Amino acid sequence: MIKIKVLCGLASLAVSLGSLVAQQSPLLIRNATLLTAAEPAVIQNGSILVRGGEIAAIGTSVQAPENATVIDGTGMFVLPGIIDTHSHLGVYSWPSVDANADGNEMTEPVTPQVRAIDSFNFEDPAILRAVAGGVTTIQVFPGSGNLIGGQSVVLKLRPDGPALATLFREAPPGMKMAMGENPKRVYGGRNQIPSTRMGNFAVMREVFTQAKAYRQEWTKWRSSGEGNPPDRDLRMEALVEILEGSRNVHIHCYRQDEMQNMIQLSEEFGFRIRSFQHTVEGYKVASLLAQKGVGASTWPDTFGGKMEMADGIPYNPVILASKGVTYAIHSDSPDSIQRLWHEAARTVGYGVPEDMAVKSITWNAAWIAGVEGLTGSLEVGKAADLAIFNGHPFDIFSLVQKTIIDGEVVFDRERDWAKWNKLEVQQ
Amino acid sequence: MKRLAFLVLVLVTFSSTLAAARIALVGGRVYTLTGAPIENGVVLIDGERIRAVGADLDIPAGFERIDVSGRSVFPGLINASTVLGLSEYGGLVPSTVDTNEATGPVTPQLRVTDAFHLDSRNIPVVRRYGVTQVLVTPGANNVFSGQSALVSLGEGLLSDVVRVSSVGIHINLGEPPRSTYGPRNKMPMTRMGIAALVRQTLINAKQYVAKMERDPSTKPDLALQALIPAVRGEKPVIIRAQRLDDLLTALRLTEEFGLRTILTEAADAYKIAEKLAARNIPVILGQVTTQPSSIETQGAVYENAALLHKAGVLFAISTGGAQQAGQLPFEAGIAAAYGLDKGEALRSITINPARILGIDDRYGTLESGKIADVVVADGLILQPRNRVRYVFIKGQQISLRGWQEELYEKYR
Repeated sequence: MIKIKVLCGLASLAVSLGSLVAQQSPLLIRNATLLTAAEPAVIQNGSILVRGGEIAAIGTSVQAPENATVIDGTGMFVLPGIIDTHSHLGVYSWPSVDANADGNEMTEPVTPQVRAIDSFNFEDPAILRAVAGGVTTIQVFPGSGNLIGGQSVVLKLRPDGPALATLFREAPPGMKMAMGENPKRVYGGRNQIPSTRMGNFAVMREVFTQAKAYRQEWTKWRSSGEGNPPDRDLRMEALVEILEGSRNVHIHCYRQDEMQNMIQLSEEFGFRIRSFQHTVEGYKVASLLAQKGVGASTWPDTFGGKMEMADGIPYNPVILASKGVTYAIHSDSPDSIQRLWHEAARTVGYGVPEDMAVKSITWNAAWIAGVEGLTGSLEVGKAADLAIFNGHPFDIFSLVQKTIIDGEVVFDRERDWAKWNKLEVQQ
Repeated sequence: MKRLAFLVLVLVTFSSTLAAARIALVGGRVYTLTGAPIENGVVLIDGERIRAVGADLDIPAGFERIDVSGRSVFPGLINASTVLGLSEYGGLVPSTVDTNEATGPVTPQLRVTDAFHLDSRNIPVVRRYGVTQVLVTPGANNVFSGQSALVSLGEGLLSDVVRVSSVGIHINLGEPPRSTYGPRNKMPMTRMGIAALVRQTLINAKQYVAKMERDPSTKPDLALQALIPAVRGEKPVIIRAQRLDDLLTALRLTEEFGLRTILTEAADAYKIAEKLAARNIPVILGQVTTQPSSIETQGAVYENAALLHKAGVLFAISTGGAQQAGQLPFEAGIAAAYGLDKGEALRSITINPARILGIDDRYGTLESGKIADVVVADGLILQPRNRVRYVFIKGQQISLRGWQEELYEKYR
């Protein structure tokens, strides 16, 4: 009896949630230039019909249903909602004080059991600024102080009550790793392994060897069907998910030799790397990355801030693009996330074709985060995640006028900017 | 006879190398920054100087013509606050960083020219964006951090590139000095500590002047000596302050000591725009994209520059930093996106910094007689899709092919 009541309760909850979305009246953005991140890449005098939180129609002759809200897109440019594949919003929330530093569990170099979602400050004021910059989806990572920093989380910047973001439930699980200077500096400074790059790799090999053994133990117990199960170890469980291909791997990596060594290690243990992050020397191994199907998140022109960034060049994106690497422009910053469209614009000055530059902050980024089937381009059936600009996004004078997430106008410059701009007033 | 001929040959070769370059940039849209841009204009560069700028100039014989039709010509950009040349790889590689003599908070005698790395890898990168000269400042960790210098991104010895070896005396208020010395239980630990230190030091400088006048054999104090032009109002005092209260402290100190103050960073400048305009205090803004991420920048807004312009404040836009100093034109462009007049955005990185730093008699616009710091871009230099194609510094064309271009060629 009770079971039926519970089931009925759940069913009606599902229905009411569904109808909440469906209850949005249809939205028509009319007569804008659409930069689709799909084919065709540009649609002039285009319109988008949004229904039930999704893109219902796109084209030059889309008709608006009677009850539709119409946004006049004349002179406007519509981009798919911008996606940042490397963010620490919420885990290093504003203001930047120690009490808000929750991104690095730097108490041991391998912490695959910790989850960025458990550190995420849903009221980080920086989130509003990102939305005002057209960002609709973020992939939040633990920091890079650890070799294995923990489980990433993908969020949509759509508010839910006082929370400024919502879990992107369909996004695949991810794990953040980091090679290079940061882990060896953190732990070397404490006279602990790793203190060298070879130490980095030795520890990585060690833990994956342990994970293999853990997996075998459980497999053995399951097939034997007798005796008590082995003890659960959350660290090992997360690593076994990697070995089994059910958790995507994203590795903070700057130097080309580390990327080559990491690819080799991944093949040694039989897992695939979804993306390198930062990938400052990606251009030196672009063909290898393309061949292995590894994606790359990077900056337009950052270089020189540490030794491993010494050879950063603004031609990195164009070389990655020309060799067929799926690359995204990321922010790794609560500041530049607000202008990710401008970050992409700078790559155009250094050779990237405009359509590819658009994809680098939309479809390509969606692919790296594993949500390319659901968002990241202006295509029928995808989520209505849209950034509406008052000029071409790569023109420095353009600004986002509206940000739409799952069909909801989350940011409207006229309605919201004055309030969102004054952080002191909010606090 | 042979020897004479040889000597003549050597002399002739030598003199043609030393002969002043004469270049005519023809057919571009010329942004003189003195009025509306000139369509289809000509800029004549004669040696180190601009000979003429105009629409239908006759091009004299002996001038090498460079066709810049379809392109735009600008005065070389001036970045009025950087640590270019003082910091190579940042704090993680301390042997390459010379920004902060953080061994004591009062070091006005330090000069950045004594630390400037002529061969910094960051210089060719910054130059590629059209920045032709920068104010190199000491870091912000000391209360009196030293003297800044105006340095060109041209070629040659220090004596060739250092244009003004001591531009201003730097005073830093706000978080950096207190977070440097406070944890060492050394003054300053608080903002009131910083201000007290400033006052006592300036008073000491005035007393030192008096002592020296009474008795010229007084033991010299180089730190106080460095402050003499500041307390006499002969040299600008460049005060770094972000938050409103620190800006107000700067104004109080200015009044108390009769300082020739220039404010820098100034995230909250818009909150006292009228006061600044009334007192003719210029501002070298930090990055337009300064964010409310730290406590002292909680008031930062993108509209800072636009609001200052509206109030009639003279300001320049700068970037700070070393590697990012080339982002200057885009910072100005972003200010324009948030309401700054586009012409003023261009002025904020050319003639305005020249005026603020007292060098507008020879830099900051494209006018006959000024030094030939000239850059040519695909179009409006504020736009990220445009590239700078030519850079002339003191009339000399500098190649834009640097180590980054070489890596590109190697791996493309």
